[in-house]
Formats: sequence, C-alpha cells, structure tokens
Amino acid sequence: MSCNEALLTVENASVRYQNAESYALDHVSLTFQRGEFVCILGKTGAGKSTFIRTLNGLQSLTEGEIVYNSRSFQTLDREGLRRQRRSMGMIFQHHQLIPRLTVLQNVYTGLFGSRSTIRNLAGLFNESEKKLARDVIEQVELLPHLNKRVDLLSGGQRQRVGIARALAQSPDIFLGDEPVASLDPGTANRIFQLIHRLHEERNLLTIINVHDVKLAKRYASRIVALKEGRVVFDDRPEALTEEIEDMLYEL
Amino acid sequence: MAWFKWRHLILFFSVVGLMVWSIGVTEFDVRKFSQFNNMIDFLSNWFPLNISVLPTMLKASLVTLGMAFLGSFVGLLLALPISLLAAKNTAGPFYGSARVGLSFVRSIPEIVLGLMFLTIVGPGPFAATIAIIVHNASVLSKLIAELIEAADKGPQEAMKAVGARPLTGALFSVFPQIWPNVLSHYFYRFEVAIRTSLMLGLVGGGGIGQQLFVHFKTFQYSTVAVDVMLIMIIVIVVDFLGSRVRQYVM
Repeated sequence: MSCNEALLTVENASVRYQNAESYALDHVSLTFQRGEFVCILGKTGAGKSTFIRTLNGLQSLTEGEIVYNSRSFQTLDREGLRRQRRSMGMIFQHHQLIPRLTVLQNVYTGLFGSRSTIRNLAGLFNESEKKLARDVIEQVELLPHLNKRVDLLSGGQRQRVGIARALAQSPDIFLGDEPVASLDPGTANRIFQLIHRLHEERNLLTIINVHDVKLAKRYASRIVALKEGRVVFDDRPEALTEEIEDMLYEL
Repeated sequence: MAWFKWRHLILFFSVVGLMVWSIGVTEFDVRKFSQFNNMIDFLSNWFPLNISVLPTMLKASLVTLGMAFLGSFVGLLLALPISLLAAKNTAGPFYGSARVGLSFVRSIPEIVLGLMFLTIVGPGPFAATIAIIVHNASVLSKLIAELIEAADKGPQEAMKAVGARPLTGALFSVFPQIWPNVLSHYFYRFEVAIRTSLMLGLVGGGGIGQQLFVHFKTFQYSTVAVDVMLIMIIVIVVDFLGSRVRQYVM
C-alpha cells in the first residue's frame, strides 16, 4: 500500500437516530491515510462519538458508506464486519474493561476476534499469544500489575489496560472515543503521549475524540472539527485559530 | 397538597379497602390470642427432647440436605445456558418462547411437580429432587436472565469492538460481572430448596420433612422438637456458608 492511498474512507456518512428530527451525523465525507494522527474536536452533542462509532460499525449508518481495506461496511454480513473490526483497536472513555478479571485476562480478550470460540472459552493461549500479551502490557508499563484485578487499578492505569487490549489486536487503526475525558490533565497528557508513541512505532492510523483543544494541538497531525454533525474544519493543527475555536464551542 | 396528588389519595384508600377485605376473609382477629395457653401446652410437650432418635434424624436431615443441594445446583447448571435464551440482549429470536416456557414451568407449584414425578419414579427423595431441579432451573433462569439484561453494556460493546464472536462476547462481558449476584441468588434458592424438600416430605419425598410429618401425625412431639431443631441448624449453616462464599467471590 503506498503512503498516499486511503486506508479508511468515509463517504457521505449520515446517522439519524430513531425519532430524531435532525441528523447526528450529517453527510460527512473524509479520507484517512496510514500514519495520520487525527483528533476530532467539537462540543458535546456535535456528533463526535457517533462518528467514531460508525468507523468500526458499532453505530450503523442511515446513509452513506465506510470503506476500509477496500471493503464497504454496508455490504458486509455480521461475520464480515467482525473480521473488519479485528484490526481496529478501540479505546473508550470508561475503559469498558471486564470487571473482576485481571490485567492479563483483559488483554487476552483483545485476541478473541482471531481465535476459535472453544479456545477462547477454555482459555488456551499459545506461546506467541502469551508473549504478545506480555509485550503489550510491558509497552503500557503495567507489567508489575499483570495479575491484578482491573477494578483495583486507578483510572489512568485502567485506560492503559484498555490501550493494551487494543494493541493486542495488532491493529492498523486506533480509535478513541474520549479516552481521556475522565482523567486529570497530567494523566490525560501521559495517556496521549503513550498513544502517540505507539502510533509512531507502529505507523498506525489514529482517530481520537477529545475535548481538550490543547492536547489535540500538541499531538495531532490533523484536526477535524464537527458542529451539529457536519465537518466545519479539517486541516493541520496550526490552522486552528482562536476564532474557529470560539465558533466551535460557541464561546 | 405539595406532596400528594389526588390519585395517590384514591390509591391509599384502595389499599386500606383491600386490607379490610383481607382481614375479613382470613378471620384475622387478635382477640383469639386469649387461647395462648394452648400453645404453651403444645410446646411444653416438646420437652425434654427425644435425643434417642438423633442419629436416625441426623441421617434423614442429610438426605434433605442432599436433595436441596443437588436440586438447586443442577437447577443452576441448567439455568446458566437457559438464561442466555431468556435475556433480551442475548436471546435473539428465542426470547419470547423462552420467557413463556419459563413462566409456565414456574407457575407449577413444586408440590404438584413432586406429585407428578412421584407417579413416575415412585416415592422417595429422587422424585423430590427432580421436582426441585425443574422448579429451580426455571426460577434461576429468570433471575439470571434479568441480571444479564441489567449488566453494564460497556464491556459488551468492547467485545463487539475487538471482533469477538457473539457467544464469546456475551459470556465474557456478562458473566464475570454478574457472577457474585448469581451466587447470591443460588444460595438463596438453596435455602428455599431446603424448605421445599421439607414440604415434599409431606407427600412422600423422604428426608427429614417426611419424618417431621410422621412424628407430628403420631403425636411424638418430643421427636418433632428434634426434627425442628435439626432443620433450623441446616438453614442457619447454609445461610452462613452462602454469605462466606459471597464474601470470597466479591
């Protein structure tokens, strides 16, 4: 794949929730390439979360299509969609970890997409899978907590487990739905730093929703801003002026 | 009327009406307690306890314990897969029929189930155990299905996002969350099963329930006292055990 070829294409994507008067996502068309670190900005209710969730099919489209690896989500059956998701790691605001399981066990669940149900249920992992899990846990600096239950970890540590789970998928794409919204500024910055480092090391496409404009400007290579479900800004971070920010957040 | 609406008042008087009616049909009358001496008389016959029957009764109470344990535990094992078919978020097309089926089974009183199985396998603890299994499978299926429906959707979404198959996703994202509550329901049902197995003893289901019934009918009150004491011990021990296990699992 050449560097300029699109990895993920969003064409005219629209989402309208049941009984809603207006679109949550209003005919959005965007093209993303490998290596881009994209931050999605916009005030609450602008459609950021809906947008991110359409990218891996957690939210289905009312109109338009998403093309990933040259395949359109709209033409895939459930099994096909599942296969597409395997290479898209997602991190959530509230971690969405499985409580009462350990760090290692939660990271193992990142491998579920590519293994048989029986092997998953029996908890059988081969040497290379075990090594992969340990490696990603080491990358998020949680090796000392390997066998600790995730509900006993701090918010920042839990988000690291979420990142490790996504890494275990060996993804091409990193999606983040407000991954630092519940963290203090220092922890949020460290999590972003970590995501950015992993993004560079693995040459991923990373698309993250974020509230903090400063974080977006510091780490993004491209900023997309949404307002009322429409793209109102799509450019390099330097081009995001204070006027545009004021318009975005209606300050 | 800042705190009430008119319809609340109507509701209140309806409930009072219902109570008055219930007092009528149940012949509820505290004045009848003037016959309190009868009970003292009756209870005084219980002592001294007839200790000589203790070994036999101990054996019978172990039969009861076995019935209750096997009945409720096999019920739980059956309920785990059935509950997936009876929860809205995991059942798919089976939801309606599973719910109707469970309601139907649950509506049959255990004593009727016991009598039904008695006609097939003959009197004794086996028939009673089967009745307890069937009843508990249906009750626990419903309770666990409700836990599955109320489980946090977050991990379920995460399992979807990693591309897990639906069954794997459901099992891993739901069961670790609800496990302590499942055990809590189980131990409660275990305790109820002990009382049920006593009732089933009345229709020939064996165990200490049947002994209690026989001793009562033959006026052996000092033996009845031993039976009751053993039953109380079993219930307390199971309750204690349940709370310890729940503590450990939390």
